[in-house]
Amino acid sequence: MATALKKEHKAERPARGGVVTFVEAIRQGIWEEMERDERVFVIGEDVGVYGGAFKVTDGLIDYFGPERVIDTPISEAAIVGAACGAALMGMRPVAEFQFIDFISCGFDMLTNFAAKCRYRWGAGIPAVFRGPCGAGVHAGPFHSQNVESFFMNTPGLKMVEPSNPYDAKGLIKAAIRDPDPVLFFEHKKLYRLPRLRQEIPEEDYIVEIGRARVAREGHDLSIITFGAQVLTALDAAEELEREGLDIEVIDLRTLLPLDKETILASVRKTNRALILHEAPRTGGIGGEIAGLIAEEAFEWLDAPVVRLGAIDTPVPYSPPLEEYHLPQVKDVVDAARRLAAY
Amino acid sequence: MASKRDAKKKGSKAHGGRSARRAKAETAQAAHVVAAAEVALNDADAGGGHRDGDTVPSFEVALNDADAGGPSPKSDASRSAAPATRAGVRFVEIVEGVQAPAIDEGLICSLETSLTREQMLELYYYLKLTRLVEERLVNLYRQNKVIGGVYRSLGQEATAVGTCYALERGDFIAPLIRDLGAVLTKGIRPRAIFAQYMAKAWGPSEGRDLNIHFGDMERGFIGPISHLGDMIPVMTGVLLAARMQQKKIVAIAYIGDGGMSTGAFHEGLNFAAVQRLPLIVVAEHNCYAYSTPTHKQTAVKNLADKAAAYGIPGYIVDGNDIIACYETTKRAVDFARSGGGAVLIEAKTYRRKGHAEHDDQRYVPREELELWEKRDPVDRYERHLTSQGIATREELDQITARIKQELEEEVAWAESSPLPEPERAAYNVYDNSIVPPAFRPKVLER
Repeated sequence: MATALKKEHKAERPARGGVVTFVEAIRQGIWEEMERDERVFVIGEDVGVYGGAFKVTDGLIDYFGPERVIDTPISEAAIVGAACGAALMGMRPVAEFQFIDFISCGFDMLTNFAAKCRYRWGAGIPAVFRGPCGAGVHAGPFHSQNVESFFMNTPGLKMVEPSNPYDAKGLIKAAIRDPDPVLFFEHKKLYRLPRLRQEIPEEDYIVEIGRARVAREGHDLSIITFGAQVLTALDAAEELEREGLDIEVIDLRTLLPLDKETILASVRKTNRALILHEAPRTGGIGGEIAGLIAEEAFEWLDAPVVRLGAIDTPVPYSPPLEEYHLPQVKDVVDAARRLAAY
Repeated sequence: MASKRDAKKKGSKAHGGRSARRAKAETAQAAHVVAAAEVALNDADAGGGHRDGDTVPSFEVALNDADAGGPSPKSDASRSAAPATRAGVRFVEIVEGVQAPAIDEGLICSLETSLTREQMLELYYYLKLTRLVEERLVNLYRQNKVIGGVYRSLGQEATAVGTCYALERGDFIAPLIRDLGAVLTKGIRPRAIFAQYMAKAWGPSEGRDLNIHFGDMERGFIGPISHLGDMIPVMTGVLLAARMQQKKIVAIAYIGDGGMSTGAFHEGLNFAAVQRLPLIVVAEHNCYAYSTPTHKQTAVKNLADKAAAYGIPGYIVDGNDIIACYETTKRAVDFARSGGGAVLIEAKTYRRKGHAEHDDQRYVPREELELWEKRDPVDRYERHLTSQGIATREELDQITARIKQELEEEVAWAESSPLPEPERAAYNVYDNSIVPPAFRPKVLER
C-alpha cells in the first residue's frame, strides 16, 4: 500500500524483548506493529511530542512521523469516530483515551457505530481503543474508574485487560491484528510497578484474545479476577497458603468474550468460586461470571459463589477513603476463609 | 449579467462610494455569513495556495440567478420595495413565523452552470427516481409490506441529489435518513432500498437494519446510524485514512438543522477543520427535526453562520434549486480537493412530510405547506428544463416512464426475496463467528 509516510527515523527504536516494565511492554507492542504494518497508526490527545499522559506512545512520533501519530483536540467522540472511519478504509488505528474515564465521551461512537457496523452491513472495524484504567493512585472520581461493565452488554466489542508485561505486549499485538474493535484497558498502577518487571521474548509473539490464564494453580478455591487485582489475589493466596489453603487464581485477560472453559474447568476442580474485581460490585462483571457458574457448574459447587468488588460509590480521592472503597488483600483473605469453611 | 447587477442594486439602498462587493454584502440579510465565508476563503488561499478569483459565495449567486431566471409575476418595483423577497431571506421569515409572499410560481433554477445537457438529464433522472422510489415505498407501506417506518424527503430531494452529483467516483458520502437521493446518485440500486424497507434477506444488511442504514464501500457509501452527528467524526477518519493512503478523495457528510445540535457534529467538524481535511458538510435546513422547528434548535439565523466557529468557509444555497446545489457543492469539492480544507454548505429547503409516515404534522401551519408545495424541486427543475429548451415535456415523460418500468422490476425482485432465516440473527457480530444461543442454558434442556 502506498502511504505518504516519510521514514526519517530520528528516534532510537526500543529494544525487542528484554527485561521490561508493563508500560515498556505495551510501547514495544505498538512500535513493532507499526513497523510490521504500515496501516497501523496512533491517534489521541497529547500522544505525539508529549508521548501521552503516561508516556505509552513516547518516541513514536519521532520514529514514525506526525502522519502516523496524530494529536487530536479534546474530542473523544472525534477520536473514536475518526478511528472507525479510518478502519473502514482499511487502516488499523490505535486510539488512546488519556484516562479510560473519558471513554464515556466516546460511548455512543463505540457502542452504536464501532460495535454494530459488521453486524449491520458487514463492515468490520479493526481498531484498538486503549487507555489507563483503575484506582489506587489517589486520582479521584474521574481518573480512577474501571469501565468494563459499561460495555459488557454490547455485542460486537471485545475487551482485554492484561496484568503483566508479557501478556500486555502479546495482547496489544493481538488486539491490533484483530478484525474487530477491541477495548484495551491498562491498569495505571501497573505501568511502572517494579515487582512486575519481567523478561519477555525478543521474537514476535501474541497472546490470543479470548483465553484466560491460570496465574496460580490450586485445589481448594478459585479466585477469578483480572488486571491489577491479580496481584491482590496472588498476595492473598500466599497468605492463605500459610493457613494450608491451596488457592487457584484465574487471570481472565479477556473480559469479552469470557473464556468460559477455563473458568468452568477451574470451578469444577476446586468447587469454590470467589470473583474479584476492582469496579463497584453491583452490576460489575462478577455478576455475569457468577451467573455462568450457577448455570453451568452448579452441581460441582460446595459453597455459594462470592463476588468481591469495590463498594458501590464513586472512587474517592483521599487515601483512607480510597482504601476503604477498594477490595483489599484482607477482604480477599477473609472471604476465602469463609468460603473454605462453608 | 447586466440585469443581475441591476437586481442587486435594486435590492440595496444607497451605498455611496463603497465597493460593489461591500454593498452587495450589506444587502444580504446574511451579510456576516458572506463576509465570514470570504475571510475564511481568503485565509485559506493565503495558507493553502488555492486561489479562486471570484469568492462571492453561492448564496448570492444562487439567489440572483433565481431572480434573474424566474419569470416572477411581481413587478420590479415590488421587488425593490421589498428586498426580503429573495429566496433565502423569505425563508428566514418563515422560520420566524412571518407569512411570506407567495411568489414562487414560475420559479426556475440557476442559469449559470457547467453541466452539459446530458448531465442535466441525468440529474433529472436521479431527482425523479428519488421521488418515485419514495412514492413506491409509501404504497408498499400502506400494503403493510414495509416492516418499519417510511421517511420521506418530499420537497427536499434536490438537495441530496444535486450535492451528491458533484462528487466523483471514489468520493464518499454519509447520508442521513432523508438522503435517499444521494444514495441513489451514488449508484445504489432501488432494489436494495426496497429489500431493506421490507426487511428481506436479500437486502444489503440481510434484514439486520432498516431503510438506508447500510453501506457500500465500493460505491463510497458509509452506512449511517440513527445517532445524528456521529457520521461527521467517522467521515473525518475516512479522510484521514485517505490522506495516509495518498488518495485524493473528498467526502460529503450530511446533517440537518436538528443534527447540528449534537456534540459529535461539533467534535467532528472541528477536528476536520484542524486537520484541513476535504470534508464537505451539507447542512439540510429543512425547518423541522421531528416536530421541533429550527428556532428551538439553534439561535443562529443561518446554519452556515456556524462555519465561522470552525474557521472554514460557509455557503448558503437554495436547496430546492438542484443546479445551484450542484454548482455550490462542485465549487466546495474543488476547493476541498485542492487542499483548502473543510466547507460547510447550508441548503435552505423544507420537509413537506412528517418525520415518518405515521406523523400527522399537527405542528405545521397549513399555509406553510401550501407555500412550499409551490416550490416543489421536481416541478421547478422540470419547468427549468422545458422553459430553457434543454428538454421537451415528452423527453421528460420518457425518462419518467423508464423509471417507472425500472421500479416495477426492482420492487418485484425485492418482493421475491424471502425473509431471513431466524438463526441468521446470530451471525456476523464478530468476524467469522456465530454467537452461541446464550439464552438457552444447558441446565434448562430436558
